[in-house]
Amino acid sequence: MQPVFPKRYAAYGGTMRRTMKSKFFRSLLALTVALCLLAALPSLAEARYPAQGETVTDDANVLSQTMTRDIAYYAEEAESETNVKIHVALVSFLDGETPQKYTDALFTRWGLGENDLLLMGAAAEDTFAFSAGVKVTEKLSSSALSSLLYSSGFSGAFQTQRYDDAFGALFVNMNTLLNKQYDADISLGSLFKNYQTGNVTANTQDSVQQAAQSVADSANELWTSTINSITDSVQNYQNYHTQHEAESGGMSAGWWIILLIIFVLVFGQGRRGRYRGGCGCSPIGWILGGLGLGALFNRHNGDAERNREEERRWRHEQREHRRDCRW
Amino acid sequence: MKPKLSVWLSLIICLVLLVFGLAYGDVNGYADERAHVNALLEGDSGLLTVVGYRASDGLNLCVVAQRHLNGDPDVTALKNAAEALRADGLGIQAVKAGDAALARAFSTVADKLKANAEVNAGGRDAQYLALLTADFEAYGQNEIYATYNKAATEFNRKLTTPVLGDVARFFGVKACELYE
Repeated sequence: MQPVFPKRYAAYGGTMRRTMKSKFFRSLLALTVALCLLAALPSLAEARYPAQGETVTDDANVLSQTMTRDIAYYAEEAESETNVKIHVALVSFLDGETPQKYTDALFTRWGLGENDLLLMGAAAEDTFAFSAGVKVTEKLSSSALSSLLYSSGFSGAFQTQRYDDAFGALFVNMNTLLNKQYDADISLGSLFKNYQTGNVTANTQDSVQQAAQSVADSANELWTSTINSITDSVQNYQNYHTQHEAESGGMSAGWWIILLIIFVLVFGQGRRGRYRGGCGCSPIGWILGGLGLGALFNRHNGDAERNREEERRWRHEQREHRRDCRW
Repeated sequence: MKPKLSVWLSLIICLVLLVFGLAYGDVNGYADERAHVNALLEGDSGLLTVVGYRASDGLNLCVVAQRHLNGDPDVTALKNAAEALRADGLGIQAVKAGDAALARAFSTVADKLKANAEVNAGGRDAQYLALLTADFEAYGQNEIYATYNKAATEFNRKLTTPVLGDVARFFGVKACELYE
């Protein structure tokens, strides 16, 4: 029985069909556009970020051991008194990113949170920036932190490659700010003792020599780990390929199962002479057919699962390598 | 109780299921292999990553060059070439052409810096120049290019296999584009 629609709906039949047709073509167009976009390659604008080390991650190799140690001790003190976790990252280049964008991306990549404060400096570019979590910026505003970078003498020292001076002066002034804003009483003691008097001596000649030496020291190993990770990815694919080739004879197993099922179905029935009125032997064919299909699917699922497992392992190894990649 | 389906219908259903199973397995296998080849192109530490690092090295060299060759059109050309390579939605041939343009621009700027008196006077920029040049060349000669092309060629050859390859292509598995 045909459903009876009220007349007012029937009148819209043609319009509805047109609308549906237009929706169909729009969907088709959207699908085509989506497929075209998928065909395009992803953006290559991925900068190299350092793996997170201790409090100080000095991939540019510009800070002295004393300064690194002082910063680490001070960060411990600051965290216990104010809950602010200080991190310092020093890299050579920013791979085309702006200092702020790079620092924000690094903050996210390192999984830093609301109580973290990250100071980043790019030694070869003479640029720096900071990124702070929400709770830190509630107490230390962005303008206060920016002002600290310039008023403490950090900016001038950093841009003339006097990195120890830059961080020494910065942390002495930061201590004052933290004590004030958090109502804390962090004592510097012997930390940054050369900078506590407020005298940042500018020995530019020495610092330039030191900067050149640090580049030379780190040059041999700077990109080695990145290259190694690519070499490993090639090696991993080759291993996959070799293994895949060794197992690829299995397709013929599928064909054998199919042939066996067809054989059982056709000749099994032929022997009993039941061509009409139902199939007495077909259960055997069905069972074997089911087994064959099951085996075929399981084989592929097993392959896929194995490949997925292998890919997971591969990706995990690459992540480990990237963690080692110091830029 | 007797089955109600005729033998031929049973046989046809069985065959249809088998063909479906075979086609599914076949397409799945090809798609899986293609994903592995594609990982060499787009995956972590894949070919595009290497090209991206070369573009980054180009931009890093611009930073060094701007200290000594400020306003030089070759430095601007290098920056443009590197940024063009990092743009979204480039095809593989565009990436290849962009990388070639980048290599030419990089070489020009590096040569100018090597001949620059300020750079040769010592200091960090001579070291950075050597470091960036070595890195750029190392990425350019990386084995990932040959490995990807070999894997893609092998996959494309398999995709032309009669029946199995035809079925995979019919269901949308595409050949891999070579980086050459």
